[in-house]
Amino acid sequence: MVDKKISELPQIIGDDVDSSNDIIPIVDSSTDTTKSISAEEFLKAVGESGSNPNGVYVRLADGTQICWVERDLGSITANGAGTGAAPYRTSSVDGGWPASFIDPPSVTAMPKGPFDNFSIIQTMAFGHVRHISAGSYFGLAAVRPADVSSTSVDFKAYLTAIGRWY
Amino acid sequence: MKIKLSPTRGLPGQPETAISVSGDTLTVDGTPYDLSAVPEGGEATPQGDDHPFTGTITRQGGELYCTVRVHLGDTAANDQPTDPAHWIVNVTNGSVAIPATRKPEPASEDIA
Repeated sequence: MVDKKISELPQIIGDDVDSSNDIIPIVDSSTDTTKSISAEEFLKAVGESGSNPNGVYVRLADGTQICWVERDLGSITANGAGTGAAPYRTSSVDGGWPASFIDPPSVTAMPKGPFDNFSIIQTMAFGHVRHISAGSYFGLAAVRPADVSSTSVDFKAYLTAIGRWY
Repeated sequence: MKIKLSPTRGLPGQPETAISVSGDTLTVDGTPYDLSAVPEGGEATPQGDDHPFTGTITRQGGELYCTVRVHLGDTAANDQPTDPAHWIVNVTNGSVAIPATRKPEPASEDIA
């Protein structure tokens, strides 16, 4: 990979994008000149993006890959007893990434309850993933801190995985 | 056997997953998985991550249900149908056709 300062990278002039002929004007900061590239050339820099039932992915030209996944987890009180030893938690789910990584990615799991009709305490939870591989995640669940509430609330989880595709 | 396919865009050049069914045996990329031990009304949970299954394997009404991860090859389009129902196949014997959307064939160049 060629090391470049941010100031040296081409900058997109968003307001001037001409979608009628697929020409994207950019500023080349290294020469302080404006030039145009085709949409095809621009996409080569982005790499590739796509979607399938497992989520959405983007593969950047420098080898970075980012995946976004949304999963329904069901009720936060499906398991556990609300104690420190057995906190309330949703059922665990497994899944595949929308696109394979070459190594296990770095993952954040953000659980989210409904916005309306429930308090902050009732929708407070943290995400847990038991195992992560280059192709899959295992044991994704939302876990409620002990003793805060016994109200059943359905949760979703939003996963962001960042790694490499080459 | 009712198989829910879980498609993953493979790494560049990675072969597309090959699946076949023979009775209660599911073969994925040449590795056979004998699922005959899954009882009626029961379920099995594959252990570890060195297998192609996602979630549990169940049997209802005599039929096996499972979810299998599949790598889509380079001929697959980037954007695939997101409706999970699109990816459910019912196979008793033989190879499984992966219902992926394919990239358009490149137009052949006319040779003068």
